[in-house]
Parts: sequence; C-alpha cells; structure tokens
Amino acid sequence: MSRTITVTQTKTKTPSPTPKTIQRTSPGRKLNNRLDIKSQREQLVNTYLTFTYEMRPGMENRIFWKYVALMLYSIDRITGTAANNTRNTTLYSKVNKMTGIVSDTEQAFWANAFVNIVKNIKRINASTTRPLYNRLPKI
Amino acid sequence: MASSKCSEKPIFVVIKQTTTGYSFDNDVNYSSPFANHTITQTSDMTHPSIMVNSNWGMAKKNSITQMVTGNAGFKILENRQNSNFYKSYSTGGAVGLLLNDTHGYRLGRYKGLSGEAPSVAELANLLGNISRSSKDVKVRGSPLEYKRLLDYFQFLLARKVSGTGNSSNNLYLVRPNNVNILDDMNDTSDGSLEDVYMGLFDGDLSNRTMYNKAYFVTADRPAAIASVVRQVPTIFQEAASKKSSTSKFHLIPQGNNGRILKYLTQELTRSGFTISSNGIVSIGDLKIVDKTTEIGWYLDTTLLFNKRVVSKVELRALVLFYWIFNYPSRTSNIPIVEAFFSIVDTFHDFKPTSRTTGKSNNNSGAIGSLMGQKQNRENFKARKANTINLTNVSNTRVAHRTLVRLLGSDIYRKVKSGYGKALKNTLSNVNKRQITPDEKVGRFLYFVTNVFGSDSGGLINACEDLSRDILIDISGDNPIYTRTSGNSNTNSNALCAKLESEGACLIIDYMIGSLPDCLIKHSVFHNVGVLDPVSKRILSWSEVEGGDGCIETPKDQTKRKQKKAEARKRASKLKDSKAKQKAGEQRKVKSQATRIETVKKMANKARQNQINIARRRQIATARREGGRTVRNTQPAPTPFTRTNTPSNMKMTMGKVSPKKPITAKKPPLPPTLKRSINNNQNNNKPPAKKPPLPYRSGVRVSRGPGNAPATGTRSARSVQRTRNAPPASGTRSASARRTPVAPTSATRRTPGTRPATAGRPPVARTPTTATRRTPGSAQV
Repeated sequence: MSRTITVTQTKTKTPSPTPKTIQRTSPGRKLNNRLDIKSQREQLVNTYLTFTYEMRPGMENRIFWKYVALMLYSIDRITGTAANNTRNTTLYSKVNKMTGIVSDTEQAFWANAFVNIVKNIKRINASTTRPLYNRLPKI
Repeated sequence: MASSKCSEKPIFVVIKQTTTGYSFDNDVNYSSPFANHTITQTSDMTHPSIMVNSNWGMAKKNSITQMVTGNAGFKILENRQNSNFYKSYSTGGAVGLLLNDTHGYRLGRYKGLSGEAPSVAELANLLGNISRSSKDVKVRGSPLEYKRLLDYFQFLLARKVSGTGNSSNNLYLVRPNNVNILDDMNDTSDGSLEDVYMGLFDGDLSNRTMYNKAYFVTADRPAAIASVVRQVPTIFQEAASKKSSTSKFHLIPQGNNGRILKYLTQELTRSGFTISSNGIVSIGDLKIVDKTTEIGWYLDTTLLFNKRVVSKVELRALVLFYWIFNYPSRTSNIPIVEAFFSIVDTFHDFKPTSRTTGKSNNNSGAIGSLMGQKQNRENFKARKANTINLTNVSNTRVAHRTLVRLLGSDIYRKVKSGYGKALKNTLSNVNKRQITPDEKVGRFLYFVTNVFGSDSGGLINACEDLSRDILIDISGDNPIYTRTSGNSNTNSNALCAKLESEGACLIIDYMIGSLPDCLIKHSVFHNVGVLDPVSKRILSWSEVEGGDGCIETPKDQTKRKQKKAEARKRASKLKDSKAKQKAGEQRKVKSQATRIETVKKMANKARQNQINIARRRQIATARREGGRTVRNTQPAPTPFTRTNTPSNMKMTMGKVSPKKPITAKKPPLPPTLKRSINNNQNNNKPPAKKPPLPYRSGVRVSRGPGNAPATGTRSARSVQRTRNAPPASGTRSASARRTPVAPTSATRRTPGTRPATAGRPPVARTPTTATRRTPGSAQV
C-alpha cells in the first residue's frame, strides 16, 4: 500500500507543546567503535528513544520521515539487508523538500511499529520491515 | 531543591534486556505510609513522560490517582475545566489538580522538554490554593506525597537498577535521547544517510551507554539517610565548611541500621544521658524515653521540649532519632524508620525558605510558611502521646494552612482505608490501648507530625545536621573524593576510577557546586529521568537550545559543533574500515619503501657529487701540473740560423693582423669547454647573443719586457711572451695554447729586412682587403 503524505500545513487551535529541542550532552562512557550486532541493537534503542523524544503534535514531515528512514536503515543493517538501501537513501535525501506536519495517528503507528521491533530485535529478519516500506511516502 | 526555569532535565529510561530484545515496561514502586505508587514511563510518542499511578486504598473520587508529566501531562491539562485548580507559569509550564469522574483527581504538570513532576514552589502554590478553598477537597494533603516521592523515586530507581546485591537483573539506565541524532535529523543540509548512521557509532558521540549499576548521590541529608536506611548504594556529599571550602563525597557502605543506633547511643552517653540496659534514656531521674504500661516505647515530649531538661535542640534531635531507631519490633523496625523519615522529609521540603514563602525569583511559592504561627505551634506542642486524637484533624471542608493539618488529613483518611501490615504489627505490639491497629498507626504518625509542628524549624534543622553526622560516621569519615576550590575539575579521582571500573553511573538528586569532568561523564543528573527538579547549579538544561529561554551559549555551540566535526572525521575513517585499513597498511609499506629509496638516491647523488668534485680537482691539478711540465720541458729558444738560401721573393708580412669580421663564425670550442645544456630552462629560448668582439687594433706592436721594444726574431719574441705570460694565461686551455711551430719557409721573414716598427703610428681602423683575414683561416 503506497501512501502520499499531505504536505499542507494544517491549522489547529490546539496549542502544541513546546517543541523538544536539542540537548547538549557530555560524552558518555567510552564504547568500542566496532559495528558488532550488540552495538547496532543498542544504537537502535537509542535512535528509537530519540525519535519518540522528538515526537509531538505538529511534528514536521521533514524531520519525521528522516527518522523513519534512519530507523529502517538501522534495522536493515542489523538484519544484513541491502536491498532497501537505495530506497532509504533516496527518501533521506529528498525528505528535506517536504513541508507540513505529521498526524498524531501516523506518529503513533510508527512509534508502535518500531517499539515492537525493538522488543523483538533479536528475532527480526529481512522481511520484518517489508510492510513498513509500503507505508513510506512518495516524494 | 530550588527550581528555576533552566533547571529541567529529561527522563532517563529504564530498559530491560529480555531474551527477544529490549522492554521498556519497567515500573518503579514506592510504598509510602499513605499510598502505593507505581511510576511508569512511556515509550510511545508521548516519551518523555512519566506517569505515577497511585493507590490510596480508597475510592478514586477521594484520592489522587495519577500524576502525569511531560506531553501526557499536557494532554490532560488541555482538557481541564474551570472548576479545577490550575496555574500556568510564564515559563510555559503549568500545574493543575483536576477532578475527573472516571479517574478521580489527577495531578498534571507540563513543561516543555521535561517529564518532571511539579517543583516545591509549584506544589506549594497549588497547596496554597487548595488550603484556602472552602470546597470539600478530599485530597487536601495529598500533593505533599508527590514532593516526597520525587526524592524517593530516585533512590528506588538506583536500587532497582543496581539490584539488591547483584547486577544480573538485566535492567539498564539509558539516556532518553541522543543530541547528535537530534542534530542530524534537524539539519537541513544534504547529508548522507550512511554517514549519519556511521556517525552514531562514534565513541564520544554515540551517547548510548547503558548502565546497570547506579549510585544515588545527594547532598540532601534526609534523602541520603532515607536512602541508606533502604540499603540503596548511596554517595553523600558533605557540604563545604565555611573555613575549609572543601566538599567531601562519602561512599556509604552497605550495612544494617544497627550501626546507626550504635552511633546514637555513643552520642547520647557522651552528652550526659544515661541509657539503661533495656534502652531507657534518662537524664538524672527524668526518663525521656520510657516504657509505660499502655505504650511500650514512650517519648515524653514534655521533658523533651523542656529547656531545663534538654537544653539544646541538637540533643532533642538526638533523643528523637534514638527513639525511632531503637523502636521495638519483633521482626524489623525499618517500616517505622521509613515512615518517620517520610514525615521528616516533608517538613524538610516545606520548612520556611524562599521557595515556600514566595521570596524566590520565580515568585511561584507565595503561600507563606506551612509551619504555622506561634499559636498553632503551641497547640501542636500540647498534643502528646496521651492526648493525640484523630478528631484533632479538621475535615476536608475546612481550610488547612499548616503542614500538620495537611499531613493530618492524609493520616486521618488512611486510618479509614487501612495502613500496611508491617506498620500495624509493629505499633500494635508497642501500643496496648484499646483502639484499632490502623488508629494506632495514625496516632503514631500524627504524634510525630505534631512534634515537628511544635517547632518553628530549629528541630528539623537539627535533624538534618544529625543525619549528616550519622552518614559521615557510618562511612568511616574517609571520603572517596574531596573537592577543593582549587582542583574542582580533576581528570581523575578514586570515585571516577570506581565508576569506570564498575561501569556505573550516578543518579544525582542534589549536589552543591559543580562536578569534575570525570564524574560528569558518569552522571545522569543532567540527562536522567528523575522527577525532581534540582538546583540550576548542577543542571545542563541551561545549555539547551530554545526551550523556555534556556539558550545554549555561543561558546557551548562552538564547542559542541567542533566536537561533532571531530567525531564525524573519526566516523568517516571508520567507514569501510577493513578496506581502508588494508589500503592504509599498503600505503604505509609503500611509503616506507619510497622513503628508503629516496634516502638511497640522495646518498648516491651526494657520493656522485663528491666524485665529480674530486675528479674536477684532479683534472685541474693535472692541468696545472701539465702546464708546469710543459713550461719546464720546453726547449730553450734556438737562435735563428739561415739554413738555406734566402729566396728573393719578398714576403709581405702584415704588421697588422687582418681584422676579424664581425660576422665571423666562432670556431667550435673543444669538448671540454662545451657548456652543458640546462634542461630546467626553456630550451626554446634563443641563446643570448654574445657581444661582438671588439675591433682589434690595426697594428700589433711586439714589445719586450718592460714595454721595451722587442728584440730578436719573432719566434724568439713569441717564446719570450709565453714565458712572461701571467699564470692565468695558461688556464684557458692547454689545447688552445699555441704550440710552438717550427718556422717554415713560407712564414719565415728575412731577418733584419723588416725590423720591428716600434713607434709606428697605428694604421687606420678601416679594414683593407689586403689585410683582411680569410674567414676560418687560422690566425697566427
């Protein structure tokens, strides 16, 4: 199923919370730079939390789909799938052109989809993300 | 713990590693004397939010069932009604107590970028509004619970993650976000997805550390002792004294409460109190802690507050602590100690300060002192163990302006709904009155509340100081880290080394001053999910871009960007690391070979130069030697003799050399004189023209030495000229030197016929055909 994202800015009277912005951090404990599977899994958790940290009513399409592309790419790296690389890269490079906001429902869907993957990160395979690719926007 | 608009911090997330992946469903439970609280975190799109579900053991409509923060808090505050208690702040935050038919009362708090619960000032303000209200507010005192919970949640979190004695519970604290991912995703420039992904694995920027051991760190004395009582790994910061300005960090070793009782007993004895074998404390004949018929462990507050009996407030605190820590119990008196400190902590939080009296900068307190007026305190002092009655507590339709009454409403309501078994059992064994166990617990708690309410604040301060002394004593007074004003930012210390080796982190509740970098690395106070707002001195939210006026300074921005650029550079190196590593090794080998080759070439060249120089010198020497030899071996000039008959043919020997035509072709130089071609120059460049040779004088005058007129024959003069030639005349070239030629008939001049024409005027320069030399012909 392919979907097209509406790129018009919706006007709502509902006041939105202050956008979550960037937090400076101090470096954490030093980690090995090896791209072993454990590090990749931990990084996926970290990326997921950052993604949901940024989710809010009125989140911009431009940022939202970048996160989605990064998450899908990260999952594919864990499963060793290279077939979707072009698709992810294309989405990531073109997403800056997008305008408008993402609906709460869409955010909830992706948050739920990814949290289920994180919960089963040791059991995923190349077909895990297949239905998710069908939901990506056409730019 | 003071709050400021920049003092917010996000939520640190507890995750559990399971057999299939990672689970976010890890609640933290806190059972207070009044309610059971379960703290849950959200992992969906409302992250970061924290929800506290409370079970007060009563109908929902009479209790606060939830405290909701973050975006989830925003959601419920959005749907508030006019009848609700609600206050919004200029910082963008809002706090409200909302009544809902389904959920009962819900305490909501929203502030951008934060999942924190209401600060002391915000709660004090809310309590002020509730206490002045004439409505029937069933939950008047309940918000107090949500302040105490803030401290408690932190050390309970530390205990949950660290486990009780083992760290195999697979629970981890992870950071709630990654600033570098946030940066990348918000960056509008065209970056590569792969680069971004690889950048996440940089050691400095990955920020994905997972800790499964944590220490609770605080300078808050009641919170620290409450943590120690519960066997939580605790580091207590002793505030710097005015004299030394050093701050000490004490690591409290694991142990039971017997060590605390031992310290209290020693101090009481040292202060002049007598402690009997069965634990009764007396001073002279007056028994302050006694065993009576009805109450097996009786504290006589009449004597305690009598200045003639117990002169100092510090001693009152000592007796009070002894009474609690030595409370008789068949199993463990820890529930009693915990309940006691929950009340101590409430008085500590809401004692008169700028936060609660509204003198703080944010002007959000403004409810006045919850300790009450002097008249209130006298009333509370009059209530003793024998006169405490829960009918003293006003009902929920009456305004409650003091902590005693606010806490009393909670205590009173809980009597009806029922306390925990541990408390009831312990107190039922001590209190033999004919009342229900719940009432016994209620009376005990209300008694303690009245003891603290009898004082204007000195007693709670003394309890805080005593808590500090206990913590220092049981730690052995051997701080694991001492921070002095001069070396506050040390690279390493024993505490850092311990954390490094254990892979542990610090959950910082409240700290005075700043941390050294090596501790910041392990600290999570600026990035951790603690509900409690803490002092702005220790928070990093002031460096956040945007949010509520806390803007990252340009210096910070530069530093962060620089750090990120460096990390990116490292990350790019990491990409295709194997291939790059191989290529790098090959390059290294090749460059090494090239270096060796270059060194060899240079050595060869230098040697060749030396040889060339030596050869040139040798040639030059040989040439000089040859010249000398030639000169030395040259035969003496033979006098001219006529060997044949002179012909009559006159030979016209010009006295003047024929003029060399300007265009005359220069004879080729011998090979040894040939100039090598400079390839570095432009070969196409035409050679510089030699200046035309000067005209020779028309007349060559042969002169003798000393410019004397030449004498003798021409050949003789030639030899003579050669001998008298300066040394340089022989250096031109040996081959170019004129070789003496045997006189021939053709060139021989008739002697004497043409004497040298010295003094003859020079011939005009105009060349004549007669004297012109044939081009190319040798001139002699």
